[in-house]
Amino acid sequence: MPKVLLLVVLFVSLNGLAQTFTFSFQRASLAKVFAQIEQRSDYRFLYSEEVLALGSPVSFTVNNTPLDSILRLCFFQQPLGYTIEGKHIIVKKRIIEKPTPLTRELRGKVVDMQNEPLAGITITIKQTGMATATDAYGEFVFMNLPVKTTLVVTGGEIIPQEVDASQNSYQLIVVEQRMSVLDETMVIAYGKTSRRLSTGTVSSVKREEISKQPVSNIMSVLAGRVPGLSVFQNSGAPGTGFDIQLRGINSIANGTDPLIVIDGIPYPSQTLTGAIGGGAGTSASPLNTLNPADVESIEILKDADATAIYGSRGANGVILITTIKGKAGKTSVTANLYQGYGQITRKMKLLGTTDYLRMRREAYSNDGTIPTNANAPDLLVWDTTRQTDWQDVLLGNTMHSTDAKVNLSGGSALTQFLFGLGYHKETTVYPGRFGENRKTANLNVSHASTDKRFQFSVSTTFADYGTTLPQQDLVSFITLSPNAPKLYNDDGTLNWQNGTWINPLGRTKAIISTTTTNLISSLSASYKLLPSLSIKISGGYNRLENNDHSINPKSASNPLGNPVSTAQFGRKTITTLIGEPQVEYQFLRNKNTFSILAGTTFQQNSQYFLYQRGTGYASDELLNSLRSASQVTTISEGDILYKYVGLFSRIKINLENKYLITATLRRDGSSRYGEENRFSNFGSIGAAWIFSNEKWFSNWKFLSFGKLKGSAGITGNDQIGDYKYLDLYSPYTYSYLGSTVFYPEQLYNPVYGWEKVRKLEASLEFGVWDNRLLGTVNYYHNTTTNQLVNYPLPSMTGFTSIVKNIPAVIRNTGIELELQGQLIKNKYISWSSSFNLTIPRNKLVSFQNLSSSSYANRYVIGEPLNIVKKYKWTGVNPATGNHQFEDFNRDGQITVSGDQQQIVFTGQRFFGGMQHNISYGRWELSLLLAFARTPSASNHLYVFSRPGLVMNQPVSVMNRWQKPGDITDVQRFANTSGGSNTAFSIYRQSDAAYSDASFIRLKNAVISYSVLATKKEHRFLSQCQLFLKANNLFTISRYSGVDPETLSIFMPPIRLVTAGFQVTFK
Amino acid sequence: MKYTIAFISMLVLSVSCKKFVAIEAPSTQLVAATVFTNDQTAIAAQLAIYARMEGDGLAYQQQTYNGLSGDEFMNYSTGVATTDLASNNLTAENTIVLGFWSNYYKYIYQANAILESLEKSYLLSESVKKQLTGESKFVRAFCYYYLCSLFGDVPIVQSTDYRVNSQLPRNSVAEVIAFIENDLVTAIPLLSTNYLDANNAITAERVRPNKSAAQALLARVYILLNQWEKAENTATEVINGNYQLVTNPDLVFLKNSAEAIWQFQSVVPGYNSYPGAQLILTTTPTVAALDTNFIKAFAATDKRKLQWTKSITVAGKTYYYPFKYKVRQNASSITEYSMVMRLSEQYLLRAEARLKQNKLSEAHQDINHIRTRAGLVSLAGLSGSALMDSINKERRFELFAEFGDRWLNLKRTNTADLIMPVSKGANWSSTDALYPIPQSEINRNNQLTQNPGY
Repeated sequence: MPKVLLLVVLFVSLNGLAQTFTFSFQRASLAKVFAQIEQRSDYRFLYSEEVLALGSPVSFTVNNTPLDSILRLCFFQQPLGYTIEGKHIIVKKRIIEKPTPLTRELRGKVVDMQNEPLAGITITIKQTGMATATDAYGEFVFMNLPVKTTLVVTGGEIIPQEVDASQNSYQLIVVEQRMSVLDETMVIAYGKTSRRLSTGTVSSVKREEISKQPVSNIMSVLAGRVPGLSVFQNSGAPGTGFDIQLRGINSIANGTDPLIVIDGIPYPSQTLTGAIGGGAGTSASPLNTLNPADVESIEILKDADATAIYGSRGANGVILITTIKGKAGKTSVTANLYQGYGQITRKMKLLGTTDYLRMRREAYSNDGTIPTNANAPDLLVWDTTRQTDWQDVLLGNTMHSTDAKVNLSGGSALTQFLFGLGYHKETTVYPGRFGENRKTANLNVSHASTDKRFQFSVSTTFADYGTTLPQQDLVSFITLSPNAPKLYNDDGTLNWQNGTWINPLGRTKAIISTTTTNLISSLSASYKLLPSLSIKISGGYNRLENNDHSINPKSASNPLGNPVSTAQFGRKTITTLIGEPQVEYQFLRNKNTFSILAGTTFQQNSQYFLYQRGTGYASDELLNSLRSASQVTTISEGDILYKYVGLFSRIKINLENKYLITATLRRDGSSRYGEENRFSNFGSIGAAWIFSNEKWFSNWKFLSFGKLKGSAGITGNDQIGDYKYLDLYSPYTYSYLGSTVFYPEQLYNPVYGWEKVRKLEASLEFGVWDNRLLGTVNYYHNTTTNQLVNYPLPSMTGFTSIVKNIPAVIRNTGIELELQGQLIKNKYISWSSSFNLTIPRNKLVSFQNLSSSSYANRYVIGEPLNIVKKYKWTGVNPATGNHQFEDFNRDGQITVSGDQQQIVFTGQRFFGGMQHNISYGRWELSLLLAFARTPSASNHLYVFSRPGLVMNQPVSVMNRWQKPGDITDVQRFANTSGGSNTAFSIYRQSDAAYSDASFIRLKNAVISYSVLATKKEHRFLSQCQLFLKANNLFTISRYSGVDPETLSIFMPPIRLVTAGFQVTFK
Repeated sequence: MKYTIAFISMLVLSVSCKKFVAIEAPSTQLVAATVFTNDQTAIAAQLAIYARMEGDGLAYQQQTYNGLSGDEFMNYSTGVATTDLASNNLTAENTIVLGFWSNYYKYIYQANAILESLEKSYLLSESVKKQLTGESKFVRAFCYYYLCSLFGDVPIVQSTDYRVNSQLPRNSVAEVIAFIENDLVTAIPLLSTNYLDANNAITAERVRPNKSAAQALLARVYILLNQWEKAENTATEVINGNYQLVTNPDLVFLKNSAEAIWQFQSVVPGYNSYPGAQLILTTTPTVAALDTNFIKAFAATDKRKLQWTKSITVAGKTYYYPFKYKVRQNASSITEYSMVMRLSEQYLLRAEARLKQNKLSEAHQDINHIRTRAGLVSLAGLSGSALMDSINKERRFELFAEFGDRWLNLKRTNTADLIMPVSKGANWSSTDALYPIPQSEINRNNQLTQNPGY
C-alpha cells in the first residue's frame, strides 16, 4: 500500500546556495535538520517520509558554512542522495553504483509494538552466522558486515522475522510478541516443537505456573493442571510421596509411574525409602531433592507419538523436567523469599468425653458385663472428667515454611550462564521438632561458537535434603479416648498410666531421619556439519545418595514392657549414567520441511543399598552410632545393575504447515529380561492436519485455528525389577554355624517377555476469536497386552509370586478436555482462565482362565482394575442391632469365599482443575481449583473400629441402635466379642467402609503487587513484587473421614499461607 | 558417502548393544549353579534352612500357638489371629495358620531345590552330596510331619516347578505318612552319626540333623502307623546312641545338652532360644501364659513343675510361664538353644510301643527313667489302658511347651474331643482338631479343598 507523500513546496530563496548557516546538531534526525534549513532559507526539501526514515540521525556543528557543504555533511554515509532543481532539494534513495566497503558497521534497536525496547533478543546475520543479542536498551551493534546483510531476529517471546539491512547503518526493528500459546516452545523427546505444529499430545506447565505454588515438591504443582494426569498427595507430612497416574492403570502388577526425565537424564521415579521404612508411616518422594524454583518447564508426554521414542519406558507416559537456563542480557540478580504458616486442612468431628463415656457404659450394659480395670481403664482407672481433643494435640500445631532463592544470570549472545542458590525449611504440625530442609545450588552455562555451528550447554544441580519425622503417622492416634490420661507426669516424664495406654508422644521419640544428596549433571554438545546436517551428543550423570537412620529408644515405649533400644541404619546409592549420540538431517523442499533424527541410548543404572540394625545399646544416647551397638544385623544388602540400550529414529514431515507427519521407531534392549527376550521393537506414527491453514478455511471468520490429529503406536513397560530371570541365592540375615548361609530368593522365569501398550489417540484442537479461546479435546484408547505380572502363587510353591506373562488385556480409554481463554483484556484489566477435565475409563477386557487363576478374587472381567470385592452391607438389623449383609450365595451364612461379591470402584470418575489469572494494574490474582469425583474411597473405618471399645468415634455413632425396632445405620454399642464383634469386622470389610471422597479444593491462591510500574522506573531494580501465596485454602467434600485426598490413612494436607517478595537487580 | 558411514556405524552399534545389556549376577547374591559347584556354599544352602527355621521363630510358634489351640496356654493377646486360635474359633483367613503353612512349604522348597541341584552337580564331593541329600530328605519329612499333623491332608510338593506345584491337590494323610517314611528310610543311611559343622567336620554343636534325628522322627512315624515293633527298634537305636538323660532338669535345655537330638542354633541378636526370649514373663503377659489348670495338674513334688515352670505376680494376679529355658533376652553369652527333638521323647515313644507289644516291664522301665528324673516315684504293675494313661500323662508334663507335642498327641491319640471341652467348653468342636487350609491358598489353587468346619 503506497504511503502518503508529503510534498513541501515553498518559495525560492533569493540568496541561493551561497547563503551560509550556523548550526549545531546532536543526533538530530534529517527531518529536523531540513526543517531548520527551510526556516532560514528559501530552499524546500522534497521527500517521502518512507525514504527519509532510511537515514540516520546526524551530529555536526557548522559556522557560516554554505548550504552545499552542510548538505554533504547531512548525506555523508547515508543511504540517501539528493539533487537540487531550482529551489527544490529532492531527497532519494541513493542508487549504489559501487559496492559499499566490506567493513561496515551496523547499529540498531529492537522494540515491541508499544515501542518498548526488548532485551535479550538474538540477532543473527544470515550470511555469516554472526550473532549478537540486544542489551538492556534493546540496542545492538555489528562490525565488519558484508554488503548483503539479512538480519534474523529471534527470541523466546517474539515471532521470528528477517530484515534486509544491506543498505543501512542503523536499523530499527519492530517485532511482534507472541500472542498465542500455540507458538510457545514445547520441549519434547529429543527436541522442541510448538503446540501448533505438534503431532503428539503434550501438556506443558511453565515456570510462571510453577512459581505460584509455595510447595517444596514439584509434583504438587501438577495437581489439577494437566488433563490426564492425576496427582494425589499421600500425606501432609513434608517429603512424603505422591500417587501419580497418567492416563490410568496400564499394568496389573508393574509400576504405573511415568518415566521422569530431568534435562535428558532418566530419574528414578520410585521412592528411595528402603528396608527400614520412611517417615510418617509412608515413603518419601524421589523428587524431594529438586527445587521447584529451578524448573523452567514440565512437559507431560502422553500419546504414542510423544512417548514411543522412549520405547520400553514410555508405557506410562513421560514427564520431562527442564531446569532453568541462563539468558543473554544484562547480568541480573533475582531474589525470592517467602515465609509461611500452615495447619491441617480438615479435622473429624469426634465424641466428647460425655458422649464417649455414655457409649462405653452402654456397651457394657448391652453386653451384660461389668467393666474391670483391665478392660475398661477409661471408665475405672482414668480421670473421667478429662477431655482432650487429640486431633488438636497431635496434628493441630502450626507448621512453618521458609524458602529463599537467589539467581544470578546473564551473558552475551554466545555465552550465557545462570547460578542459583536455594534454601527451604518446613516444619510439621506434629508436636516435636520435625520437618524437612533443603539446600540447592545450580549452575548452567551455554555457549555457542561465533558461527553458531557448535553449541554446548552444561547444567549441574546439587541438592542436600533432609527430613526428620516420627516413624508412625500420628493420625492413627486420633482414635484415643477423649478422657485418655495426661501426656506428662508432674516430673516431666511421659505418663504411661501403669501401662493402661500407649502414650502417643512415645511414638514421637521413635524417629526416622533421612538425608539425601543428589547431583544431576547434564551436558549437550552439537555441531552443524552442514546447514542441514548436525550431530549431537547429550549425556548425563545422576547420583542419588540416601541415608536413613531410625531410632527406637527405650523411652519411646512403656518401661513396664522392658523395651530395648534399637537403631537402624540404611544407605542407598543410585547412579545413572546415560549417553545419547544423535544425528539430525533437516532439509527444505519448496514449502515443505523434512527432518530425520537417528540416535542411540546407552544407559547404566547401578544401585547399592545396605540396611543394618543395631541392638544391645547401653544407652539411648548412643543410638546415633552403629558402633555402639553390641550386635549388628544386616537386614538387607543389594547391588543391582541395570543396563539399557536403545536405537531410535524419528522422521518428521511438514507439508506447507498443513499436513504434519511423524514416524518413530525404537529398538530397545534391557538387562531386566532373560537372554531370549532381551530386545524388542516399539514405534508410532502420528499425523496432524491444520485445516485452518487451508485456503477454503479463510471464510470461517470466528474459528482462527483448527487442527485434527491422531496417532497410533506401541510402547512398553520395563518396571519389573531386576534379575527376575535368574535363579538367585541370597545371604540370609543371620549366619549359622559361623557360616554365611544362602537361601533361594525367588522363583525364576528365564523366558518372560515384554509387556506392551498399544496407544491410539484422536484429538481436535481449535482456536476461536483470534485464538483468544483455545480448546483441545483428546480421546485416547490404550490397550495393554501380554501382562507381565508378579503372578500370585499359593505359598505351597515355596513363594507367593512369580514374574510371568499372562494373557490379560487391559484397556484404558478416556476423554480429556482443555479450554483456555483470555476473557478480558484491555488497558486496565486482564483476565485469563483455563479449565481441564479428564474422564478416564479402565477395564479388564479379558483374562484367560481368570476364575482358576490366583487373581480370581481380585478382578472381574469387564470391570476396572481399581476395584475391590467386598461384602454388601444391607443395614442394621432392627431386631438384633447388628449389621447385616447380603448373602450372595444364599447358603445362610456370610463367608469370605462366598459373599465378598460386591464390587466397589475405588478410582476417579472424573477429575480436573480450573484456573483464573486476573491482573489489574500492578495487582495480580491467581486461583487454582482442583476437583475429583471419587465415588468410593476407604473411609474412617480404616482407623475406627467397633463403637463401644476403648476408642473414640465420630459423633455420628450416637445415632446407634438402642432397642429392638430402632431403624438406624449404626450398630449397637458392644464391647465383648460375639455377634456384634463378628458383624462389625465384616462391616469393616464391606462396601460400607468405602464412601464418597469427591472434593473441590482451592489448591492455590496468589495475590501479588508490583511495586515498580515499569522496568525503567528504578535505577537498579527492574522488578519488585510483593505476594501472598496460599495452598489448600478451602475444601468442599462430604468425605467421612479425615481428608478426601489423604483419606484416613495419613496426615491431611496442609493449609499454608505464605508472604514474600521477589526483586530483580539489573 | 557420509550416510553410508552413519549406517555402518549404526550396525556396529547394534551388535555391541547385545553385549552391553548382558550383565553379570549381582555381587551380593549367587546364582544357583554357582552355589552347588562348591562344597562350602552347598552346605551353606543347607544350613540356611535351619537358620531360617530359628529366625522365623518356628520353635516358638509351634509351641505357643499349638499350646493356645490346645490346653497348655491361656491367651493374653488382643490380636484377632491369636484370639481366634485360642478360642478354637479359627477362620480360613487366620494369619498364624497361614504362617505355619507357608513357612513349612518354604523350607520344603529349599530342600527340594537342594535335592534337585545335588542331582545335577558333578563338582561336589561325594560325602557332602550324601550328607546333604540325607539332610534335605530329613527336612522334607520333618516339615510334612508337622503339616499333616496340623492340617490333615496336604499336597506333597516334591519339586521346585511352580507350574506343577501351584495346581497340586491335597494328598491323603496316609500318602503323606508313606512319603515321610520313604524319605526318612532313604535319609538314614546317608546321614552321619556325628554332628557336623559348616565344613562337614565333626562338632559338638547339635544344630544340624544327623542320623539319630532322622531315626527319632522315624520312630514317631512308626507310632503313627501302629508299627510298634519298628517303632521300638528305631527308638532303641536313638536311645543307644550318644545321648543320655540329664539328671538335673535345669540343665536339659542348655545348648548341646547330652539329651538334645536336634537344636536350632541361636541366630536372632539378643536371643538365646527363641521361646525363652518370647515367653519368659517380666510383666503382665501380652501373648500367652501357662494355663493354671495345667499347673494344678502337676504333682506337688514334680521337679518339672518346680524347675520348668515359674510365676510372676503383677497387681495381685499370678501368671505362670514355661521356664525350661532360663534366659530371656540380651544375655551376655549364648547358653541355650531352641530344642527341636530330645531323648526323653524317645523313651516315652518306646514305652508306648512296648506297651502295645505287651512288653510291660520294659515299658515301665522306659517311663520310670523319665519319672525318676522328675523326682517322682517309679510306677509298677500297670497294664493296658492304665499304663497308656500314665504314658500320656507323663508326656504332657515332660514335653509341655515343646513344638506343640501336647496338641499333636491329643489328636494322635484321639483324645481331643474328650479333653478339650474341659478347658474350652462349648467353643470346642471335633473339626477344630485340624486347622483350616488358608483361604489365600485355596484362592490361588482351586485344586485345594477346605477342611470340614471352615
